[in-house]
Amino acid sequence: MKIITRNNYEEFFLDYIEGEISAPDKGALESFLVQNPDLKMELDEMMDMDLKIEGGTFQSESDSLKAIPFQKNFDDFCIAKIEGDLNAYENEAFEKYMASHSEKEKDFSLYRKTKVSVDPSISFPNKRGLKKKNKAIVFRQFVFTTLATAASIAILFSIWTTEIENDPTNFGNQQVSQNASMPIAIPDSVKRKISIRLT
Amino acid sequence: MKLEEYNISVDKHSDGVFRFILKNIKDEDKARDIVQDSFEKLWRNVENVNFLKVKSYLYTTAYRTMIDLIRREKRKEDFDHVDVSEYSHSQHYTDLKEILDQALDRLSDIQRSVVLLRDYEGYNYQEIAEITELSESQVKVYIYRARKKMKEYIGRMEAVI
Repeated sequence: MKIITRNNYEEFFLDYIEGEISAPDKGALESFLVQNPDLKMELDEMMDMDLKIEGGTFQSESDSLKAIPFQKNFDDFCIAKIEGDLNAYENEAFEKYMASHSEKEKDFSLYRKTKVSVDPSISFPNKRGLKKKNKAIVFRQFVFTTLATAASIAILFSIWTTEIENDPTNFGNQQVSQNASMPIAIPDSVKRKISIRLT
Repeated sequence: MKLEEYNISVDKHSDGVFRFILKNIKDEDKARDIVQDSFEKLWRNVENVNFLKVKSYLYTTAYRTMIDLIRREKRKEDFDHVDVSEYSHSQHYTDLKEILDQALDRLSDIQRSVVLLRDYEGYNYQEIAEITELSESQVKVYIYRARKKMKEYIGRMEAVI
């Protein structure tokens, strides 16, 4: 069962008002209201709200201008006005009421100030990171990159082998001709053996 | 939705979603993460989302992620948590925007969200209901209650100035 706190009580209020609250939650709500009497007042106010929610129009006792309860529900009508919830008749009636009750203008002005406007200076910093690329483009880029790398390696290898062919000494290789004679050094011990045999 | 339409969605809606989330949770890093997660989810489901409904898809996704985050973080707090949105009356408020921001801070998470969806994006009650998984009547009541709270707060603050 969800615990009722001062941060989430409105959910329970709405369920209670609409008759959708479970028995355990209702018991919890009643205990919560005992501990938070100021919120009990708020619940009572919500239940007293004279709003006809369906259709977005106000429940007037009659279509007569005088019968529209602006005085009683002035706050609600102010909000309805700025939310665009008044029909054409109610809208006209409200404006006439305001024209003849200038003392109400301050309150209505405060309600107008509750409309929040966008701050255009706030923007998401990295849209590019959110975007996706065409898979075909990605594949072509991959192929191009791979071929370029392979070509670079091939070029470097070719340069290296060419350097070897042009200057083999630098790499420690000696090429010996079949016709050239090479003196072979005979160790002294072998020379003595040969001289003993000859004598 | 096609790839081009997805990228158009980034251009058209990333700022708005970011502003909405940031205004709610006041944490730029987390707001950025939520926006990124929302677009990643959109991309994973790109073939199933109609381009004409992408805005509500993004806001719904971002809102639910945000609420989950808020609830997770609140569970970590002591239930005796004091309302930190009580501002000292000794502060000098210079303009309406500051007062309005503070009035928004004093609303519950749901109240603030529905007001921002209404005022920032111009959603109607039904659209807000779909995003927030509330009934249309609940949305209206939340908005009306929020306006009253904000009006009372603005009135008190302006009297102090």
